[in-house]
Amino acid sequence: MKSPRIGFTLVELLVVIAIIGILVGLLLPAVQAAREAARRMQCSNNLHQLGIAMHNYSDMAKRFPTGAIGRRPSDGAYVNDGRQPFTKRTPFIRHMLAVLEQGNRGAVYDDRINWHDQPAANHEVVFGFLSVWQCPSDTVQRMETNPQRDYKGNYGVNWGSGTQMVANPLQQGPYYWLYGARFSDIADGTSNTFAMLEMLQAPSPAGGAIDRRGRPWNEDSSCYQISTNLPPNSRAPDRGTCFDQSAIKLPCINGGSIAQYTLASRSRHTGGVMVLNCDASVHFISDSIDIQTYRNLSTQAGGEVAQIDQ
Amino acid sequence: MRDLSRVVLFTFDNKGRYSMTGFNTRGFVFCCWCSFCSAFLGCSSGEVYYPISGLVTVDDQPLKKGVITLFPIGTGTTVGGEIVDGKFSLPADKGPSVGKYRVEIVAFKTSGKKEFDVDLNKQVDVEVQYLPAKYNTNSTLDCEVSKGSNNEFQFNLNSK
Repeated sequence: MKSPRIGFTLVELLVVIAIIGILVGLLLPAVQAAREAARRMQCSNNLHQLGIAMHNYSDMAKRFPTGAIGRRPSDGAYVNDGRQPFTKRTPFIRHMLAVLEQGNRGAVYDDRINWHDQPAANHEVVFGFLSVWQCPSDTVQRMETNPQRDYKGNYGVNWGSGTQMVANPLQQGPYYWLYGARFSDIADGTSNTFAMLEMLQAPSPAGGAIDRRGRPWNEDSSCYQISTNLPPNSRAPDRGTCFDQSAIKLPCINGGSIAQYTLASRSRHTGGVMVLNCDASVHFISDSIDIQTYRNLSTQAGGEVAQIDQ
Repeated sequence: MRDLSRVVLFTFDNKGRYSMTGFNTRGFVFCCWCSFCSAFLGCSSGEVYYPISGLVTVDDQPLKKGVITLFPIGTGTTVGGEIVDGKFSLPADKGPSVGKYRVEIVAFKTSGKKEFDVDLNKQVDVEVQYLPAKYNTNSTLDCEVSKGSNNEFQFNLNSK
């Protein structure tokens, strides 16, 4: 009688290992995709929170929070002559603190001075980490080249379909210099107009170069003002005070006319960006969206008929 | 145990009937190769990008500093690059795919004014865009990108 076999032959082991390898190979991308889907969900929740906050603000002030206080809307010049009370440079995020249950942080912020003149002792509190502004698919960055070392964020305001200085009123979005839209201004309909779009937090380049994209705490151009001049996740470069980082999906041409500065909406999600509409609904916009439709969705009173495909 | 690890193949004879044979090394390797290849079939991306370059003049002088952007008419992706001393060039990885494009060109010059930039911590020149809208926001310029590496374009603009 044959003795019972002990163990497996080499071929049998190799076959088992190969099968396990194939199964893991199949499973791994699925697990990664599931994790990314969860991160995208978190991102969409953040945007929805911001939308609700915006509506709460609007209940009090009868308009959306001001897009940016700083440059003069007519010509883009800084008017720090001290005569007008609204010329202290203040970013959009400052107005959102109270309605995001960050009132204590807002209480520390001194509105009588520019954001960059806030006393150093308050930097950590005022410019600190704010989780609702962070998309988990992206990496958290700080503005390392500034004494404020403010945290960057992933959500910028809809600045319309033009560039930094919007020449044509039909191209205007719900946010602008010294402007936050009233509901009655959004003639195209709140469900057909973007309020906020995703942006990427540009890492501070080595060597001290400035890249201020994805920075909610500076109200100056090319920080958080997103235009639909370029399509989502555009391969064409942004134009602004930035540094070309094409390798990590952040192409840029530094400098030029500030009126021509343009930031495209960008994200680390596959194939598109998350957007918040003025009715606080959140949508995913594909990279391949028709550019004209995309621009129409960003204008608040362009008079076009445009809808987000469901 | 050994019997289970055998691969069974179906073979057809000339009358259309099939029969089962035992392990066939060449068939087995062929099967493995086929499944291996088919696993990668869906992975190759469709779009191929080509390098472009060219010359931009304003009033017969090379455009000193500006930006050129190509917006696809129909399918394709938006691309763009810097114009320095009249020349622009996009390598293949930043270049467009085959198709027709609407071209927007902006040009910058200093205005003489200066302003303080907090991030740069110094006074910077305020630059202005000086080309008329027919070259950018209401552009009438276009170009057609074809296959290969010889996509060269020239745009002769007037500042008035």
